[in-house]
Amino acid sequence: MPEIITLADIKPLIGNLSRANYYEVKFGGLTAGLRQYLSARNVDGQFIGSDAGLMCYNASLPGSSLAKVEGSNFTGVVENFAHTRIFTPIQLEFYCDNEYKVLKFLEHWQEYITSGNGNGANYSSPYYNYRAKYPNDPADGYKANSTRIMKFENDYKRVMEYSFIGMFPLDMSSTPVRYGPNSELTRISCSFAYDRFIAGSIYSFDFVQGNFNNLSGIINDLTSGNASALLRRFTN
Amino acid sequence: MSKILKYPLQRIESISDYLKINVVTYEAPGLGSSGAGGGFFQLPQGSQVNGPGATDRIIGTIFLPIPEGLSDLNRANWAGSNLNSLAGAAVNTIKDVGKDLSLDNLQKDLAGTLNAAGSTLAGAASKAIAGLDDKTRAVVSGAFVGSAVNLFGANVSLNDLTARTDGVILNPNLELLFKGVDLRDFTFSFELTPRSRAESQEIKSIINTFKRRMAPKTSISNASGGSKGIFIQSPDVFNIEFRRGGAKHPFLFSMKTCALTNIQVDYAGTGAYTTYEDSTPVKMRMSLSFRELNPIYAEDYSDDLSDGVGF
Repeated sequence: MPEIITLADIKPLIGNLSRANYYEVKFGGLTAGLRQYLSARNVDGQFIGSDAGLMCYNASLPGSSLAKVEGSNFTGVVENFAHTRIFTPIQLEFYCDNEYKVLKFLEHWQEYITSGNGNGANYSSPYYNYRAKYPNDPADGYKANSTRIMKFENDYKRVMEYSFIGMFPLDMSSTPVRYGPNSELTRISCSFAYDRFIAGSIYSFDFVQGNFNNLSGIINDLTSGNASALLRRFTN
Repeated sequence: MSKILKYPLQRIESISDYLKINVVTYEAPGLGSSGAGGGFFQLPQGSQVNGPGATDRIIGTIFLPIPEGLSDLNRANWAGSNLNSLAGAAVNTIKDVGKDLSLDNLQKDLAGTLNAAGSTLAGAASKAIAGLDDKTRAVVSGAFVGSAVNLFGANVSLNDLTARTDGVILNPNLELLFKGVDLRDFTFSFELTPRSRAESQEIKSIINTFKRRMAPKTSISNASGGSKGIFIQSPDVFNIEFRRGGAKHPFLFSMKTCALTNIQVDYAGTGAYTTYEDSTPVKMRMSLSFRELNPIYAEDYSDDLSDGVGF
């Protein structure tokens, strides 16, 4: 027997749906070596930490899948067992500014990854060959460890945050340019690989407050007026 | 103080599963003793790894991730064995003769003892044949006929004859019998992908250590050593243990002290030769083949399963 639901019952739920156009991308966690490399090409820290994310007009919240194995211990029944979480690359699309900083940011980040042989005077030599930089070297590794995508609503009260570990630009699509209407913008598309992501904040500040990984911590206790939970937080 | 090498440099924590390999100086097993404690050789038990005091002989420790394709293989050598009724009767008869042919009897009276043995043999054979029914006796006599015919190069077996004449063969009493113990082999493969310069150095040291420690030594350092060049000394051996955090792995198998018999490193793990800035390959694959020094016995196992499945 289905449950009888009135419009009034579902209004709080259906009337508060999330809007896709409220989100923020923030690049972060680039190593000193990588920042220096980009800075020398006029892509400064302010641009990386703030503007590059704002220029991202089309993002997607990351997805993942689970690898599984099948078991057939019971005749005619196939059981599924999950064992490994697989993180798929994320696609981000950017408007290009007229200083081409977005283009330089992505282009030279990729270039940096294969700049193990340096890129001095011999860079344009026909005999130049590529070697990779180390990915996780603390000083000059090419992976970034705290890039975030935040999904929120127009009241800014609730945030769904994704933090990426070991991110780097994997596949930068060729950027189309052509004669056409004057209003047509240059758009850049790039997919980013990463080791894994974490749903929810991973900042130590949030960890202390119990708000990391989407846990309902001290702030939720305060805003919801849950005094007993708040008291437990300080007495336990 | 022994040296510690670790790959990956990070991510070995209290919740991590990993492989711990202690490099240990080899100690020759010796010839054992025939004292009151037991047989000539003492069977090494699980806790005795390549002789007592092995922990004092640890040269270094290598921490590696759990290898790919993890499996163990325990073997027991069993093989089919035949003993037909005639051969069984002969065994019993010869055992009786053997009692007569003791060293004491032979020393006292050589001729008498041999005569007595001959009489026992003849008596036992007559008794055995007399106990057979007519049909069986006819078959047995056929055996002697076959032996006589073979003198002329016929190459006829007893079973050939009985099969031809009576359509029967001797029951071989085939049974699977235990034939001996075997040593276990393990092959472990590791993907090595250096993430930093420090990790690259660590990988280089790990490969170097395995190669060096599996190699025999020309400089004899122990007391039994002689002039350099006459002997070569056994390589070092390895105590291998799966672990979770600070304790033994609660599920995986245990191993006795092993010798490293093979090491293979593929330096082009990406499919092509690709390197980092200091020429360290981007991906390597190291394959180690170990063989245990001692077989596994039932006494090596305990009822406590907290240490995993056992050997």
